[in-house]
Amino acid sequence: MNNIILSCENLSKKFGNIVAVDRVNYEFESSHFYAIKGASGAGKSTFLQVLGLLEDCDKGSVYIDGEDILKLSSKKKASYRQNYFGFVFQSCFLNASFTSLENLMIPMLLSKNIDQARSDAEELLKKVGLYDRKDCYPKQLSGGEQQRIAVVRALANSPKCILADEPTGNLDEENEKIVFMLLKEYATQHGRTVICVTHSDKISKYADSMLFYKKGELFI
Amino acid sequence: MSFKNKFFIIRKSLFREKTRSIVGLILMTIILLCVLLALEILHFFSEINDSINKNFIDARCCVLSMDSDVSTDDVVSLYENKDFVDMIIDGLSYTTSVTYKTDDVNYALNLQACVEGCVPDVTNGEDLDFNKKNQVLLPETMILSGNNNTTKKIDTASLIGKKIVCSFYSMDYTTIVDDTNKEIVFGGTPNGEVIIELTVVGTYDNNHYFQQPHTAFISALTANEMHMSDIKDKTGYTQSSIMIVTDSVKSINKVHDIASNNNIFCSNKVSFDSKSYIMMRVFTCIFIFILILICIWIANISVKMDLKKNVCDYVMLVAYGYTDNNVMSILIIKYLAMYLGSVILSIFISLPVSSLVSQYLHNIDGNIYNIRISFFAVVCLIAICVIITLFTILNLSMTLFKFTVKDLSRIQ
Repeated sequence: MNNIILSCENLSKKFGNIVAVDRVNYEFESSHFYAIKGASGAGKSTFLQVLGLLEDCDKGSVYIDGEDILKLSSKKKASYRQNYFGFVFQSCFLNASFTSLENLMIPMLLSKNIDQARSDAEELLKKVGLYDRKDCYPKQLSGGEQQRIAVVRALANSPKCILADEPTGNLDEENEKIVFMLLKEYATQHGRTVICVTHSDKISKYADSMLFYKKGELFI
Repeated sequence: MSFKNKFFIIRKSLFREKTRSIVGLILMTIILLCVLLALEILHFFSEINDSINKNFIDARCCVLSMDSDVSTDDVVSLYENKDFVDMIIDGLSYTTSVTYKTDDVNYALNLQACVEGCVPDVTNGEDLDFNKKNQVLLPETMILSGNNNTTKKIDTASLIGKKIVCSFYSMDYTTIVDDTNKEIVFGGTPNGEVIIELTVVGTYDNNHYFQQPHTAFISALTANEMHMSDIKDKTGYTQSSIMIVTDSVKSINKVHDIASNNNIFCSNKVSFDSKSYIMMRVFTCIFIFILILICIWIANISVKMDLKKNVCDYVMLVAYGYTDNNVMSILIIKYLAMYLGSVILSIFISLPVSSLVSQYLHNIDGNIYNIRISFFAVVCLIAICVIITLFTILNLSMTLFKFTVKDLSRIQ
């Protein structure tokens, strides 16, 4: 059995009268690719954001190594976001002022100097076959290339857990396949956890576990 | 996170947004340049106004000069403790004209404020002590009629230690410094009645003093009292420059002509009065205040536009693990760099501009003051830069961290 790297207990979040997360309890293991499917507006993205410390919750806890990370100070939460979590969003959100290489460097600059960050970023680009596009700005890249950059950016600090919120929502079939393979490889070959919210039917080929989210509740 | 890493992000960000950065820089530079020039003009007014405000009342160390006219011996003896003379002032600056009133007669008493470096040698009594107030030196010889040849004299040494009590209207005099660095006093407005008590501390040798090449003053109530003969006769020192004191600003042209016609050096004249100075200074201060408000407004608009355009980038920084302080410091350094850049540019541009304005000011008759960049103005500009930065920080802290990942979701 793989280690439990992340668990949530009675996690709840409301926006006014709308329940986005309703007493969710789950344990996520390492070396595992989780897919969460559900209708739009069910609260999947909110769940992911609370797990990843991007959103506060009303009640409940998220444990990493026995520590409730929701109760930490903002500085320690930031440290967890830097070292423990990586985020991939549907719209990539690459910084238009920076090249592909520099976009990968930005997360690394928190803990590395510029030269080291540049060198590590180049290695990552080579791994995904985009080294020749390192000096291109996001608007010079295709949608698929941008999303691949966004995925490797999430891997920049070697996080233990990748939280991907509909990473292939804007992509065609081929690019979707590339992105899922990248995430799958990261989970299995590097012993990490990937939690991916998606509407795609193709996910079942890659995910180790399929979870369903409905009206704030998580079902297996 | 190191400063070098932060600077990497800022530099790339500014370079990529260079059009907006340059426009912001130019706008701020123009406004700060206007602030700087206004500060220089304020300094210019202050220099002139400082000259105006040197007042006999403040000094209260004075000399009664040679050729003193004393009305009668009776008057002198009547006021043993209070003595006065009517004289021609010699070698000093800033006069005031007083009228000593008795039951029957008004006597004019001309006291000359004394400044350090312009004091005759004391023959009896004490030197003037500029740390003490209300002291006066009398000339050794005081004569009746103001004529050097009279034999009727008063021994002023006997008056040492005695008091002179005066009631007079103090005057605000206008002064300028001419090209040879002599001070010219002209014009004045009454500034209220003042009563002072002066102590006679010593006397000086007015003959000896008289022979020194000092500036001579002729006190004249109106220009009609000025005659060619008066100038040559009363002073006898046509070789010396003359300061002409008149209460009437309107008389200055005639006085100037008379002096010039007698081959007496007379500098150009310039006429300001203290009220116009105050008005100009107040107006300039208000103008500077408005410019500062405009700077703050531009800075705030700039921040809002930046945040609106780049909200995703800043929220993503938080997702990467950047703390609120990291994000805030990156933004503050970015804006501070722009503001400081504007300060430096405005200083450099102000140098040729103030040189041009100075040339114009120098062409005004009698004006010897210039506008120039002063250390005070640069410090003010940097202080304004700091104030704008503080407002930027306030704006950022109120708006930046309201953005959350929900804003990303909306954009998605």
